[in-house]
Amino acid sequence: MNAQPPIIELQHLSKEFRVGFFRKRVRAVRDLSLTVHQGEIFGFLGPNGAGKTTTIKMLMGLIYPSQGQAKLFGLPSDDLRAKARLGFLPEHPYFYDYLTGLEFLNFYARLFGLSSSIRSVRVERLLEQVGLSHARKLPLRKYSKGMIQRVGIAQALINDPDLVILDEPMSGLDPIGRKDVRDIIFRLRDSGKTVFFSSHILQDVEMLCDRVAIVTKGQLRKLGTLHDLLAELSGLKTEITFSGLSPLDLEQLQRLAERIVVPGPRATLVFPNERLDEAVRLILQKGGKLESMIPLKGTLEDLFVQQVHATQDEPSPLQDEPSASTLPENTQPSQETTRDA
Amino acid sequence: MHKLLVIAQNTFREAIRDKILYSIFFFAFLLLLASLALGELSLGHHIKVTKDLGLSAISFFGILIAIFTGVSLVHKEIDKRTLYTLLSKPIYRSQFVLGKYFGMLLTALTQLALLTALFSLLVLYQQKYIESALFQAILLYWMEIMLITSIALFFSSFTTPFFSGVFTFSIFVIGRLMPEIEILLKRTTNPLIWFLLKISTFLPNLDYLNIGQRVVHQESIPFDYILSSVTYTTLYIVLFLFFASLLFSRRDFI
Ligand SMILES: Nc1ncnc2c1ncn2[C@@H]1O[C@H](COP(=O)(O)OP(=O)(O)OP(=O)(O)O)[C@@H](O)[C@H]1O
Ligand SMILES: [Mg+2]
Repeated sequence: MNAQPPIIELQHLSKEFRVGFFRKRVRAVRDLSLTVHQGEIFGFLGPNGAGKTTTIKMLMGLIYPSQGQAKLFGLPSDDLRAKARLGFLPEHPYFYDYLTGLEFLNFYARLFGLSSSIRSVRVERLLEQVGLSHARKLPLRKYSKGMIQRVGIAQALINDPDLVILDEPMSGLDPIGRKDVRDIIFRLRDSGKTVFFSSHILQDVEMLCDRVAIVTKGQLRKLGTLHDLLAELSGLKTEITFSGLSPLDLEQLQRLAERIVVPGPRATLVFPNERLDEAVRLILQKGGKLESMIPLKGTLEDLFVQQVHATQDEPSPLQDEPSASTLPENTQPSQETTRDA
Repeated sequence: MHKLLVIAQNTFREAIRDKILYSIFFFAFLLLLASLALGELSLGHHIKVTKDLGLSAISFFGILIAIFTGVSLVHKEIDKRTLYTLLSKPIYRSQFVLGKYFGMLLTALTQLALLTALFSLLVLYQQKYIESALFQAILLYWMEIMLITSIALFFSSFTTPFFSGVFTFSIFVIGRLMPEIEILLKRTTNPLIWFLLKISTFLPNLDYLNIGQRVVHQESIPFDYILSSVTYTTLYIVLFLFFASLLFSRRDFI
């Protein structure tokens, strides 16, 4: 029904790295397919080492996929016509530290062949938007981390792109900066642009995104609208408020609970629904009085944690060849996924 | 073409805002002045000493700049990850490589022009005129600088600055020793040495470009010689730039 090609199309994308003396395989991304359509704000989520940055680099043509392909605007991702309509902010950006903010943005603007009148207007406006007007004559060497992040966002918008790809745009920003970035993203959506970004800050994702994907260990685990994904989770937990239990009984009940919202004689606890029956029975048996029971809506954090836990026993990208598992390289990435367990 | 120049200009700007370059230039400057002093002190042939030392200084420091910029400027973009955003702009990777190359040349040319100007003043001061043959020698040194820059760029498209530097410098030395290598090649009986020497003869013969001595000793250089040396070098430059672009285009930037 929609004649236009998707803005982003990943088809069975995989990437293997070879590391160390023994050229051990790291399968950073495996068979990842997804599409993003015009006007969407798309959140790309996953724990550390999940393969987000690797995917984004393939999307940008910085590294070549081992299998599969990435298309932007229906074109191969290294096509200049696609790049002309694209803005990109890499993870932990770093820019030419001998240039001033003004020189830097002008340099990139010239690569798009913008005329000098358009350039100067746009550069000033972007500096204003990211709150760096005061620092425009300062060399980037003297910028703070958050200021670099801001100028990074400005350079991603220099060509008035139709698609903006941001790898952790909020990292290093203060609360005001985060809000500024959220506002920029909303403004982009209001003018019909598409935004694809990775983030660890789930509140921002909840506020911003239409659709999200969750990857763990290089594989896509969940994909859908935020609304649908969270609806799947609802009915998993219930918040119960009650009174009239002895401290001893209360303590026993608290062991069943996942979380204590309000302690004390008139307590509010949250129970996972598997233990709901047991909890209610206990309250009534011990002569307690039920005051309210509210089914809780799932949060994105619940979904995220659930996905990470569900896949924590799978082999990590480094460990999938058991024969070589004694090598000392097996350290960071996979262990980090289990850290918040 | 336009984008290439934008990248070249930024590379030039980077180079001239780098302090190391100024110290290299400063030493070249000192050496030129020293050549004048030595010329004055030596008996009789003093103008030859000035010319000889002066041309050597120009060539030596030009090569130094070529290797330094060639191995460091591309690597820096990869290492500091400035390349990630640059390559996300609508440019081909080959445009990046060539833009860098021309930026490096612009840097070397600026330095060469300043040193040549100073050198000319020194010669004029001593003999009241200056012969055009000296500029022919400088032209061929310039060709050598362009070639060495392209070789450094070629190596830095796939290896570290250290190895790029070592390889490039080796090629420079082998290239300058080419007449000796050809003599050895005729004399050696050891097949392994013969093989290694034979391989090195495929490298550019930089002796063609080193006419400083001949010019200083008043030998006249035919125009054909200059022309064929320039052509010879240009072919090598194109070759090295082609492979630099090719390797660079295939590479993962991780
Ligand atoms: N150049 C590389 N060589 C070898 N392995 C790599 C390389 N780059 C990434 N990896 C591995 O690929 C996996 C995915 O890394 P990636 O950087 O894509 O994760 P990420 O999702 O962006 O994580 P984070 O949230 O920490 O930024 C990790 O296991 C990592 O160790
Ligand atoms: Mg990342």
